[in-house]
Amino acid sequence: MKAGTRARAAAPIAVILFFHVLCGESAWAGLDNPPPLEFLGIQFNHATVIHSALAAVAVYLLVCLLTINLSRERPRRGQVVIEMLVDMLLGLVKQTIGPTRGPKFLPFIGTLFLFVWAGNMLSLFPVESHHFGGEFFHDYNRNGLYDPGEPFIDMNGDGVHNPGFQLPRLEEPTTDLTFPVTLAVIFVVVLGHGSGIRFRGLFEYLKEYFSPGGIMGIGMFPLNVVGKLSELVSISFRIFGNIFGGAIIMSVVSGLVFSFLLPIGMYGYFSVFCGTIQAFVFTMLAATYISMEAAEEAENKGDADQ
Amino acid sequence: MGLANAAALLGAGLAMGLGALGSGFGIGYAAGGALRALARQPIKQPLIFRTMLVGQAITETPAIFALVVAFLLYFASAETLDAPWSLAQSAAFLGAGLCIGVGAIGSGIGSGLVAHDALDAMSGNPSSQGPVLMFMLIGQAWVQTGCIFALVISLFLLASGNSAGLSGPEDFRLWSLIPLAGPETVATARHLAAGLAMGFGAIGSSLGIAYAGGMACRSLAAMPGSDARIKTVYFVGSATAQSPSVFSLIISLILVLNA
Amino acid sequence: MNEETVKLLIGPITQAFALLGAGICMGLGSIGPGIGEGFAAGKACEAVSRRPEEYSQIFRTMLVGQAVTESCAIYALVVALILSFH
Repeated sequence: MKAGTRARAAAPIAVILFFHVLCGESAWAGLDNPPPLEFLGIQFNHATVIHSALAAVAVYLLVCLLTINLSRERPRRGQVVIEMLVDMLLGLVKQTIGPTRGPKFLPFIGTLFLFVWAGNMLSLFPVESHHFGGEFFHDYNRNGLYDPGEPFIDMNGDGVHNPGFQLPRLEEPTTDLTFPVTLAVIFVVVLGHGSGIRFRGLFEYLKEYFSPGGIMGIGMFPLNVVGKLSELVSISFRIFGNIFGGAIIMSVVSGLVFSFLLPIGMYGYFSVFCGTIQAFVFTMLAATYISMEAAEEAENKGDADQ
Repeated sequence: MGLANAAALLGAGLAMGLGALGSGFGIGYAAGGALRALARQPIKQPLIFRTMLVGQAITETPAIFALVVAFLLYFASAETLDAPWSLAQSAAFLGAGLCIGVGAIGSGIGSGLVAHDALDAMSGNPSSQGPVLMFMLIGQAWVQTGCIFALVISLFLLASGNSAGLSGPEDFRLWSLIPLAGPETVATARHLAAGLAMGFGAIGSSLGIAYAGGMACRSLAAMPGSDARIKTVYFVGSATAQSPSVFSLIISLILVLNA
Repeated sequence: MNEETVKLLIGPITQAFALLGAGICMGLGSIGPGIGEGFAAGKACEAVSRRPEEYSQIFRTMLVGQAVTESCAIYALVVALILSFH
């Protein structure tokens, strides 16, 4: 089946599902009040799992829709958009990793950008997040009272159930720290260090941890290890802090000010602008960390930026 | 009147006072850049005026964040009027005010620096106004990150303070101020330390990123051809310069969430 | 007073000061690296605009310099972590 046909078949289903969820008719899918998810003794957060799956499906549908009826002579608008995106990512990968090794990493880097970006854009959809297993401020029948079966939430510490005011919005998966940490482990450790071992050999790779060499190098070993770990920490906590902070600010200020003009501006800034910039920074840093392990030799790098 | 009440009022004052410091400096600095640009290119007056207004509007954001926290602290002070004396709660309110107040200084000054450099660069090479304006917006948004981190920690501290005030002696005793051996001492230290860590931790990164953003605007105007390379260097460089404040965020989160 | 009583009395105070120290350590310790790394990034932008053909050399040097500058912040992070789990 061609991609275009597949997308045409999938789009109405997605629309129907979206309206079902919007109207609160999602109990049929078992998403409301889901049972605890446990595997091998590890607890999973429903909201993060479901929202990241949603972002992945959204990316798939978006790319399918944009690549219907590709033509070389008369490109449609979607084709122009996707070509610009691919061009930009190809230039980025070639510039940082190298002209021959870079394009090999393009599928990973492009998927990463689209996935994280779609995840950050989820908060624009006014669907109450507990339909997808969201855990904040549960109030299932929306009467503002504590009923048996609901989690007990005390916002102002007076011992009374008070779930507070909650905006109907999907949660970004990035507001859970496990999501960026997982992506950082996949891209920095597996792709970056893995390709470092593959391209330079295990011995050369390990030599980097004793970087000044000699007796100094043995002393510097723990600091080098901490330095490598801090890459992982800083790349994941940066996007988490930004998106989580934006979400908290939006919910607090929208709860204080019951108007609709201010939240629109704040969604434009925190969700669209900051979300896009942070997704791009995450992608770019992942490419840079890969390039620090897998970059080509210095003599090829002079003409790498064309 | 209780101790927490006084601490919340003091925190509100500190938050707004310190928070207005950086933004005030930054807005004035942006206006100074606009005046220099006008002296150089009087014919570009509408463009320069518009850019200055946009830059100043974003420079104001840290002060608005501080205002939000000051209002929340003021509301909290009204609720703790008859609350029992609790050192931990007072420390949480004071820490929340200090955190956003000190954290807003760097972001306020930094946004102004970026706007000033962008206006200066724009007047030096008026043909590069589009990319310079975009870089200015991105740079200013990036400088706000430290302040956003500080705001998150402040709100955590506020929530922690609201739920901490349930225990403690009913009225003032001298020894209620010096609870020697107890979890109260540890919680007090945690709240204060979290506020200080994130507040001061946001200053350096914001100023550094602001310098990088201003330099990126200037170099873009000096060399309009090498757009993509400057963008790569600027993005990766500022993202690395962000990591000290990210470390501060981690330490503050550890301190707050264990309280 | 025997040793146990002293430990019980002094323990929370020691922990409180350790936590305060952790906060101040991380807060003040990240001012310098932040400004320094930003300075390196700004100068790298300037250098790229002067000599665009040396782009990759400049980029790599900036990354290495920033990594060395960041080690100060990492020292502060390690000390603060040790203190906060005291």
